[in-house]
Amino acid sequence: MSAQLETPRAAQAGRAAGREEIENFLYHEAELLDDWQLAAWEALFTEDGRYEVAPISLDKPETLDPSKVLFLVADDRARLKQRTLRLMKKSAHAEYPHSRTRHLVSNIRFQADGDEILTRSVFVVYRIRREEVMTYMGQNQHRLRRVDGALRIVSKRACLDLETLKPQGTVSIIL
Amino acid sequence: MLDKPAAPGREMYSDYVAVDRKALRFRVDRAAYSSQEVFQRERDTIFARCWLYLGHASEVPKAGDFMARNVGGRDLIFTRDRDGKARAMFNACTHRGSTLCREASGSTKVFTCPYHGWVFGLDGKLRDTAAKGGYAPNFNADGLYDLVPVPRLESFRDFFFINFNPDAIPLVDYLAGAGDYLAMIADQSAAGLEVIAGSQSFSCYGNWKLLIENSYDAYHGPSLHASYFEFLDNRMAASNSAATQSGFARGLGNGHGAFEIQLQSGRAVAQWIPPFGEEAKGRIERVNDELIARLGAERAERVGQRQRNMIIFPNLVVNDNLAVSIRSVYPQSPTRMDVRVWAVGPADEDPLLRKIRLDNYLTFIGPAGFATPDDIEAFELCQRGNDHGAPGRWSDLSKGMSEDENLLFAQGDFLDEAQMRSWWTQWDRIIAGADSLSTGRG
Repeated sequence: MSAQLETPRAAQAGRAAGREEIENFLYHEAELLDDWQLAAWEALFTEDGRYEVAPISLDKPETLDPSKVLFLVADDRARLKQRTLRLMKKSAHAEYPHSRTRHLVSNIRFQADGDEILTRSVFVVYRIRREEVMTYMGQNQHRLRRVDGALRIVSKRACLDLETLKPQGTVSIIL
Repeated sequence: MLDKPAAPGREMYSDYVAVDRKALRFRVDRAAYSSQEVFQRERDTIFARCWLYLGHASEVPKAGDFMARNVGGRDLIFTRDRDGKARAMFNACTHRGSTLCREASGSTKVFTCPYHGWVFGLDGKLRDTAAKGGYAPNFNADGLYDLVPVPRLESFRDFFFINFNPDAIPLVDYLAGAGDYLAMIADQSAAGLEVIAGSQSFSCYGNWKLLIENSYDAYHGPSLHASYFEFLDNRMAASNSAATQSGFARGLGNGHGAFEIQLQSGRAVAQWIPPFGEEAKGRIERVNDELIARLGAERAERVGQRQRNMIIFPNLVVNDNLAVSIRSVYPQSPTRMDVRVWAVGPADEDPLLRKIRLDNYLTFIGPAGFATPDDIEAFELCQRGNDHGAPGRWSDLSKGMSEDENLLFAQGDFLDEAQMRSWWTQWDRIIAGADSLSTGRG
């Protein structure tokens, strides 16, 4: 979408959702994750919302289909809810006690796609656990839709820049 | 297979494993999970003499296809030559030792060294030195500068293994009882299996043997994975899935072992559960009918309905449960491990069933699943305890032990630790040099 960004068409979407609103939305999402407000984070998604983390071993992760290749995460709305419920339990051992995280969001671009808005942003997520700091970096693609006046996430796909999860080991947090 | 008996009055060969048949105790010295000496000895014996998993035939389907893969700490090329023959060669130019192939996978006619431009064929033969002169006419007449093949490459039902010991016993003998378990996976499709794109690599804190023990330890399921079973119960609108499991665990010879259970958690081959949806029901039934027609009802029931987690000694995890996953694990250091995970499925799988397979896989397995991160947490905690002064010398693996147990073929309930005792019994023999796994007893 690089060449098409913020063309007149996007400016139209800009009337529907301006840069400031989109930035605020993404920063708000990051804050909910850092505060472990996972129920509130989950509520940002539409009824048909999806959350995905693409495979890190394949090229062009933004084009891949989770029904054909092995993703790290490919949650429909129901499993997304189960993921957030699980992560708030003491028995989700990999995240008990909760890691500290810091989600940084940058390089935000967006364009309209019909009634929806596609955003592309760069993320760096720090996870701090048992005196170790792990870093996850990559690009997030959000598809946003306005529902009852507020922006909601139709899909979020995180594409990590990592080649392997060495030394991170897991993606037990939400990116 | 033993090259020598244990010392008089002793059952084990090293001091790292202790068996007390009267007290029904089987214990492993925790130094085996952290010492530099053990790490080195494993490199010189276990990883130098055992058959190690290289890859699946579906990863190099055509002539010229290749994968660059690290196996046992050594960079290898797995390729198929012009005659369609699978080959495993060291991924190093014979001129100065430079890494030759830099892509993880692809298709090529030759391998060209980036440094001086030496060119090697798919069969490993040196084709060109890119030099106008300066070499003797018979410089490579004896093949000294051809790529070095891995001493042994053999396959079983399309699973390729290598061995760095030229005198190693044949793969099929090495696999012993594990062969039939591998066959039960291969039997899932008449069209053969394929590795599904999207393999996962990760490293974590912990000795590699902690992952081995964890991978076929059903005992930890209800406690460590309580949150997964809650998810399953919720999904199935059923109660207490964990308590409905039943099955057995056993050693399979040469250190291999498995547990096998019945659990209604659904499988693309071939156990339908309501969350898969009505559309999938008929398709899974057809898969099951085909299994019965090809394998007979009894075998089909075992292949399609039951689940099993297996270790092929030393370090190949073959989990045939919610979906089929294959993992290899290697020590990066005494206290860190490198893990590679592949998903496998029928080569001709129906698209809906493939989707269900991947969904089922993701729910439990993998670095962002609902269970694997908790497994990693568990063995990180074991290693941490070990490295931070946990008192006592021993780790305990006694559960289900009997006084007259044949350790290499130990048997018990699936919640027992028989399979782990078989593994450690073989580990003890190999690191102590009691079993060289060689035809010539070399």
